[in-house]
Amino acid sequence: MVIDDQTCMVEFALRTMSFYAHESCGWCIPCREGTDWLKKTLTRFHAGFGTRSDIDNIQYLAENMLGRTFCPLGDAAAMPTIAFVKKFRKEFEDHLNGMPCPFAREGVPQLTVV
Amino acid sequence: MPDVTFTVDGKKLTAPAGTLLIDACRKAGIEIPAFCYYPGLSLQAACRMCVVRQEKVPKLQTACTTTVAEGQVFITESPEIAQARKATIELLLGNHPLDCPVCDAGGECELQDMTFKYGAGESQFVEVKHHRDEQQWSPAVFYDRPRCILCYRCIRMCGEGMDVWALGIHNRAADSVIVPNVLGTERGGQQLDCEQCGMCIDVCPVGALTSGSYRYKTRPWEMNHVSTVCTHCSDGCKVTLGVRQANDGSEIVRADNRDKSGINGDFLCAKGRFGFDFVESPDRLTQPLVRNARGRLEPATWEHAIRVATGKLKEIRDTRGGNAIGVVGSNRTTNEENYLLQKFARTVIGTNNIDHERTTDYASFARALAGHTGKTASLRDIAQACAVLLVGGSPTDEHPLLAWLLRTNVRLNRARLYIANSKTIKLARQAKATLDLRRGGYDKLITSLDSGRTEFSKAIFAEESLIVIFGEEFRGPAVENLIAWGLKRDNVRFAYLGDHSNSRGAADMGLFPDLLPGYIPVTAPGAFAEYPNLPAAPGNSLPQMLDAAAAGDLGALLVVGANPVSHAKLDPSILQHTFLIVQDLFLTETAALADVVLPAASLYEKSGTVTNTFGDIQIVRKAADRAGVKPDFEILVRLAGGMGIDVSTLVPFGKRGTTGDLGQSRGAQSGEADRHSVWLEANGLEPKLSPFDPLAALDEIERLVPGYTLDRVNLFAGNDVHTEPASPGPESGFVPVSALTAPELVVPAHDTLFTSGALGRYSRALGQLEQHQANELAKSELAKSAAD
Ligand code: SF4
Ligand code: SF4
Ligand code: SF4
Ligand code: SF4
Ligand code: FES
Repeated sequence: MVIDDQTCMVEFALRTMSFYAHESCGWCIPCREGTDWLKKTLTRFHAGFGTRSDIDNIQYLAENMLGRTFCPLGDAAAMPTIAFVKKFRKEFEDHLNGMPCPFAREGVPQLTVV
Repeated sequence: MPDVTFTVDGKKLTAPAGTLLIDACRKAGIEIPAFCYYPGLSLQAACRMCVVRQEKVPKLQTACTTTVAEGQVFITESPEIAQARKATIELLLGNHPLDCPVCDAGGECELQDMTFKYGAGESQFVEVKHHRDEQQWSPAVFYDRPRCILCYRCIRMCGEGMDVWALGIHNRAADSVIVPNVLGTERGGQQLDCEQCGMCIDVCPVGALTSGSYRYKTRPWEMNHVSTVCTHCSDGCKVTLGVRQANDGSEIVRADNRDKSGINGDFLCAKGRFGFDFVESPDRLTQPLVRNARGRLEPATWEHAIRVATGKLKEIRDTRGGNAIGVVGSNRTTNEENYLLQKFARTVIGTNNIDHERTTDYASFARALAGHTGKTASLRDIAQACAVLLVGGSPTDEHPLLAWLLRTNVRLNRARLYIANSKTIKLARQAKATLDLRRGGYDKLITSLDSGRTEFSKAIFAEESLIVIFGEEFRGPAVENLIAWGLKRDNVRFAYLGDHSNSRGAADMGLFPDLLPGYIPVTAPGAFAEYPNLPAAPGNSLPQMLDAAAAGDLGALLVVGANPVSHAKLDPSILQHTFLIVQDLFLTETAALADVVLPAASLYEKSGTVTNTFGDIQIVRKAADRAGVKPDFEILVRLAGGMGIDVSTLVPFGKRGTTGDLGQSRGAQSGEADRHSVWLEANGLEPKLSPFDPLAALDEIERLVPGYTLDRVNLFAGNDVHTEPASPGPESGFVPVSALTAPELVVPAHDTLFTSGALGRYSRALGQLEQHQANELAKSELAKSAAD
């Protein structure tokens, strides 16, 4: 997947997670509850109401979904999420302290979130 | 399957190849946590709690779906596994209300236990939790979605276990909910149209499904848990009653069988699970009643009531003879009480006028099997049988446990069930083959089985062993023909379906005018020789007694836990010349006509033994208590005492016996008697059983009744002990029963899932469930006719 540097990775993580939270069939606990929780947290985080511990928690939740679900949908949701936090931690941190999304500030069009 | 050896946590284990790892571990004492796995139900792999590490496999594996094979190596506890389980619980708790302080499951909740074990004590969850309002699906079943962990045990229990399929899932992802089969139009309008067995509530590991009768009533640790036997149908489910102290004794608040002890495992039907509340009915009699000079029943003391009753009994016996008195026994009292009742009738009153409301023809069953052993099937035999032929009957409604065991046996062991019936019964869904007896009826059965032409008869013929279960459609000669047919083959065993919790015990204990306990004819020379003054001629059957009453020839009638006025649809006026004594829980149609009414304890308020329709004896333990009432056993001893009898001739207690310490009352059965015997021993005296201790009679039953050779250790441990109605050969004292049985005396009760004679009528819970199901039926018929 190619994403340009004008894309907010938090927003992208949210969009990805929203997709999986919607697609999850709900059969097993890690996927059903994990995608729901991550979507909720990312929504709040992206809106600027996140805390530093949320960043770790997002990674923690995703890591604990990985390899534990009934089907690979859970893995598919967890893997990119872990990567987003690990590789773009800075972008997450930029959302802290009640700051709205830095990309939105610069007038970048927002991704549609399902 | 051949055994394989594999390693779990460094221990070498052996199990048949293909065994589920979780089962193999549990067997070896290694506990693996599981929410969705439930023994006997299909596998889900949904909760991910049972994850273990398998050597050479990259991901953690679910022990509930991994089958064991030679050489595998597993680790079931490690920091990695503990973390996985902890995380799963954290995820679950994310949307969980954690209202443990008010949740019914609090204290016995699998989620609480697991949280405690894996220490998911801190929450990172700060989002808004999903909330959905609690729903009431029926008078019995409530659903609280926020507490639901979606393990789907309820769905599988209802579908696979009960074959009702009333539960399902709606939506997906975090919006998933469990839904009942009747979907309301407005919010909360969902309803359950089902058997209302409560099995779904029972298997729910958390407090998501709660029971209408138990919810918010108590905490599990506030109850005593007493294991006894259900008082409703004749299958004899073991039931664990949750009992709590109350102002007027102790109160039953819950019934289940979570410890899976007994023949039924965790199974109970609606009656066993919810129908215990008749004991609390406001209509319960708690004081003796005596008819006064103005013809009204008025409350009296026990002493007065016993004096009036025995005075009259004695007077009639002494002036008109014992045969001017009749005795009617019960289908629900214990074996000891039934035994004592017939002994009372025969030796104290001096008559064979004793009978009970027969619901099936056990006497013919015993006669047909006379001289044969090993030909009756216990419920355990049926649960494991390879092939069962069910003739007549409607087990799903009338024998819910039998239906459950047959379904389970077919589902899990691929047992072959053959059904021959004149109606279509629900169990046909599990049948390998059915024989429609709509035309020709049951008379045609044997010809049709022997024809060898139909697939059905060929299949039956090909079975190496067979258990034949038959219903009350067979009586008298028909029973004998069917059994004779089976006895011609090698490996056929039988079971005969009767109706109430101790109908079989009533028959086995000789509540017959012509048969002594063990189906020994009263006319048999030397039978029960130790009974003083045993009348030799058969007495009157119940209808004959009622005829005698109508003709003014019956001076007195003692009715114990029976309701002939309603049962035989009697004109009440025929009893006007008869002095009527009734021992019962309620002022039934019969009790309302009585001159003396003695308030009796229910099966849940006494101890003793009962025998189910399969001949399996189980111990009954006193669970609840009610001020004012007495067990029928004690009432009978008091009646005998009041008639001036040396009570020790009736109840053999102590070595020498005594004339009865009649001062003892309810407590005499437990603590008081113990303290009494401690005191006696300390004073160098012989410890004695109280005359009110039914176990004193059990000794005599064992000694005198053929077939009741009991394995005491197992019986007292709470296990079921199989007996047969007869033992072989005259040398064991057995005499084949006389031909004096009358099939027309049998009136089956045909109880449904929600009815249970008088007990059912006084159970509010069962009344509500019956009403609920009637409404559902009316609605679905309305919908059907609208669709037409
Ligand atoms: S279901 Fe268990 S964990 Fe949930 S509120 Fe009830 S007791 Fe607590
Ligand atoms: S009460 Fe019994 S029949 Fe009804 S939904 Fe629950 S398990 Fe199914
Ligand atoms: S209601 Fe209970 S048994 Fe059914 S899925 Fe939810 S937690 Fe499991
Ligand atoms: S099946 Fe019979 S014995 Fe078992 S719970 Fe139901 S009524 Fe009681
Ligand atoms: S018990 Fe194995 S996944 Fe639920």
